[in-house]
Amino acid sequence: MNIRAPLIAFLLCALASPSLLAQADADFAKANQEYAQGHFGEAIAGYEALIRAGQWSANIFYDLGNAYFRTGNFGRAILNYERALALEPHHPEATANLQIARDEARALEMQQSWPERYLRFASINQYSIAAAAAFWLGAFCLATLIFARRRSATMIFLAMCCLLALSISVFAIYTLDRGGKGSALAIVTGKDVQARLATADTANSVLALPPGSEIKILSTRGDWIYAALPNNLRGWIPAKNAEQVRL
Amino acid sequence: MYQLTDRPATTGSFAPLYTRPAFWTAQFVPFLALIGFAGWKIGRAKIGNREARRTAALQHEAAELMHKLRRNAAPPGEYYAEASRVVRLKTALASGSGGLDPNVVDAETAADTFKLNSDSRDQLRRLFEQSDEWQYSGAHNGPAKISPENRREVLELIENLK
Repeated sequence: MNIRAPLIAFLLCALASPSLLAQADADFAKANQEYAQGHFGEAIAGYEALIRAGQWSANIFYDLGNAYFRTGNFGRAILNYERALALEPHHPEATANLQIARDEARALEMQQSWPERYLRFASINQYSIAAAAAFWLGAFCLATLIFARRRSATMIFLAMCCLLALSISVFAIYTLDRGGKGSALAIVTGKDVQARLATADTANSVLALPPGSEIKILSTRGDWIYAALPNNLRGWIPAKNAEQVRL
Repeated sequence: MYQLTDRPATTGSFAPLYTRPAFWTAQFVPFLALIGFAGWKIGRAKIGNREARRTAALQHEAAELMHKLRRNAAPPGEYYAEASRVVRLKTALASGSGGLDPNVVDAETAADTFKLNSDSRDQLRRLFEQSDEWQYSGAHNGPAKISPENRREVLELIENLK
């Protein structure tokens, strides 16, 4: 009796998933059609419904970015291009359009530290795989060394290389995740946004942030975000005027 | 600014790989492989130790018997039994890691192991026959004492088994 409920749930999921996928495909095609006909508002609504349903893919975020670009909302266009690139770092169309949108909006970019710049040739996921591979290869080398009668110099060298690769990968994951373009990256979506010295609209302004500008969220207090800003500044901005790239 | 109309079948995730449960679940595969590898290595080390102990015991016994044979003091029955025992031990040692039991070694096996010529092969066969005669009949067709010449020949034969 106990096994019946999960079995029925599994069967229902197995039966429902193809129809859900077909529905998502139809919604995506409809949104694309709206875009092609110049109905950008309807296209945006269609893409956002798909995203709310969890259908995340680089192409959907890229298409949504294009739709926002056509409506002149550069902040949200840049946000969605960034999301497309977060899912697929080497998405050529998103990279190209992001640059165009940034130029149009005169958006400010976060400065990256030098390790972040050099380590960005691979993604966090690739470093995670490299770290796991180096860890297990190193563990096998150590096991071989422990049980071997004679310590092989090659094995010791290989173990040291694995340790080095593991250290570099972990450092890269930490640097990229905590860096300016890491998990805390957010995009200014509002217009005429001013970063301020305190959590009040009357507080002195630190920096004017054009739509699409990058910020790094450091903490939140009520409706305000304390963020690291481009040009190595820090300030408070209203939470409604920025959205985090990673959902 | 054209649209991309193909939608991937699988959905993406913003969560880094190392935060996903599937990543950590996948680590069980190399973990189990490592446990298996360590177990295999430990098993092999145990087998290696047992083999080393056996080899050391055989070498010790062979050295003791050779020492006794050189002293010239043993009566013929004991002398031939010990001489054939040394041949068996040397054959078992020479057979390598196969672990040949010295008790099952006969003259032919020993001769094949050491690739002896026909003269040495005959000598070895005679040695085993004499040993068996003394062991099972308690008597010998030849003289009751072993001549120094015979002892020297037997010793030379055994020492040349390499």
